[in-house]
Amino acid sequence: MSININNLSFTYDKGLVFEKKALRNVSFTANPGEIIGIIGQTGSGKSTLIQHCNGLISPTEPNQVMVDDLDLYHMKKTISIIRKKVGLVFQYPEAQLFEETVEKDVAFGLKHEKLSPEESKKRVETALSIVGLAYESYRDKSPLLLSGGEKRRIALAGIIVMNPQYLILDEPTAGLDPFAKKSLLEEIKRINRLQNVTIIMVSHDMDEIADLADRIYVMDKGAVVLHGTPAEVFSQYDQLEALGLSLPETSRLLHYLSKTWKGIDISVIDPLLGADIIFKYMQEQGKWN
Amino acid sequence: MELKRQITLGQYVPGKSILHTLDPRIKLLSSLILMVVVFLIHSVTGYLVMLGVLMILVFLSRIPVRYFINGLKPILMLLVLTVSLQVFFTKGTSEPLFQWWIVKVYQEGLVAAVFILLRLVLLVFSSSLLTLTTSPMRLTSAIEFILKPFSYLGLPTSEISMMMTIALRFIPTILEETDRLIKAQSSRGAEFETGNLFKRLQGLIPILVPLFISSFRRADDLAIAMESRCFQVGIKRTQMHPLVFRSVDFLSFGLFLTILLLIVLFF
Repeated sequence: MSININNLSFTYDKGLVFEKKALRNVSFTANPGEIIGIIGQTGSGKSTLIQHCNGLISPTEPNQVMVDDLDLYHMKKTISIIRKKVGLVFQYPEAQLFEETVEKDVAFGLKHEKLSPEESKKRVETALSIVGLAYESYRDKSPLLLSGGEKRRIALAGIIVMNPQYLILDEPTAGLDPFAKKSLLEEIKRINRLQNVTIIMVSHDMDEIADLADRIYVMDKGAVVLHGTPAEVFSQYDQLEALGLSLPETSRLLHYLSKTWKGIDISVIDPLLGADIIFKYMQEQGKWN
Repeated sequence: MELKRQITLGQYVPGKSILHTLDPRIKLLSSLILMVVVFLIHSVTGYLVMLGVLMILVFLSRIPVRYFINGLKPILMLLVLTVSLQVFFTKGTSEPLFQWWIVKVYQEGLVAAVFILLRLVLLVFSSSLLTLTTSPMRLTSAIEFILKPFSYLGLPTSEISMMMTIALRFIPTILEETDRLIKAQSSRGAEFETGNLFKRLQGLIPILVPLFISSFRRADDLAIAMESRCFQVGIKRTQMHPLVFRSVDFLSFGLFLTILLLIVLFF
């Protein structure tokens, strides 16, 4: 049970002057319970890739996009099954809020499930509590009048309410203040741990990705160019730099030091572990008195 | 992305052909004259010659013919309707060519149908030729130039052209936004292609409400941005790239007019 993408290619506006190759032979796997990070510059094909995962863009050949062994090529008519399994939260999802009250907006995704009012209320309550909002104090508020961070949570709850097994987030923390960012990331972790939801996250914040992800895919010009654990990926300093990507702060520091401090371990991403390595290296080299 | 492909209204295909570099005022005037001429011609050969002239222009523009054919798609229903009306409801003097029940097809009807078909196709082709080879910005400055005489009658021409520029500028932005919203709401289980008319209209609410909200916000932002750059209504403005006639513009305009005149005179 996983999302499997095999050798997928995709071209926008095929045959027109505006033709643009968005994906080139991309293979990608997301296993249950994992947190996957996708990084890459703007226009590297990240959005096109994630839109394939819930059938917003259809594959052009069979066996290219599989969700829980269901081939999306054969599911054009029954795509709503996939949409329920794979929740996709777009960039700046607060732009999609439209109902008069928070409760109605979050419940929008439940419309086709034919739930009783009590069940529906329960689902909304759970979804709101997962994103850290109290149901009673928010249910009757207008979603359009809330703060940016609250709006983002409501939009996220609008997807979580459908109980997806996979949750795809396109730059979930873009434009949020540091505090809202941190607590949103905590919630994403919690959703992953408590509900065992597979998370696929696109981000430009390397520290965020390094902290959360189990595995990372690096994309460039529509192709996957690097893939592995955060430690593996972020030790490829030169390649990442050539792709115009930055490193997590700790990796950057260690790479800078490694230019003169030969033999220092650069595979660490966590700031505290990094401090430890620097301390030990200095002790070994007799630089610490 | 899907929407953008379907709506080709005012679509511009960048290029470096002679038609792209011609002065937009010349192009605008020429296509207006062309549209008048289309109604002055009264023989099928005349139309075929016109079609030939347009085909040469299409070739010169270096834009694939596919784009021009695409321009016909939105008016396909209109074409079918008018052509069949002409065929079935024109009464001729001679014997009907074809008769079935109360349907009678006369030769005059067929001729009229071919006429109207060629006219509409020529109109669409010539206006496509203008919009496909002229960027929206250059087109609006051309319109501003042509509207200029009316400013003496109190018409706020520069404001009109500013409004047109803004509207044209935001068509792709809003299409993109709509596309994004459709995708975002479908991810939440919204369905737009099922149910009766009422259900489908209801399905538009999750798209239209956010679209209006963001459009108003965008208008607000734009107003502030324009005012902070000292934009004021009713003040004389200069252009960064003022339109300048070159000799090649006059030459091609003269050549074009001569060809049209000859066609009108001989056909």
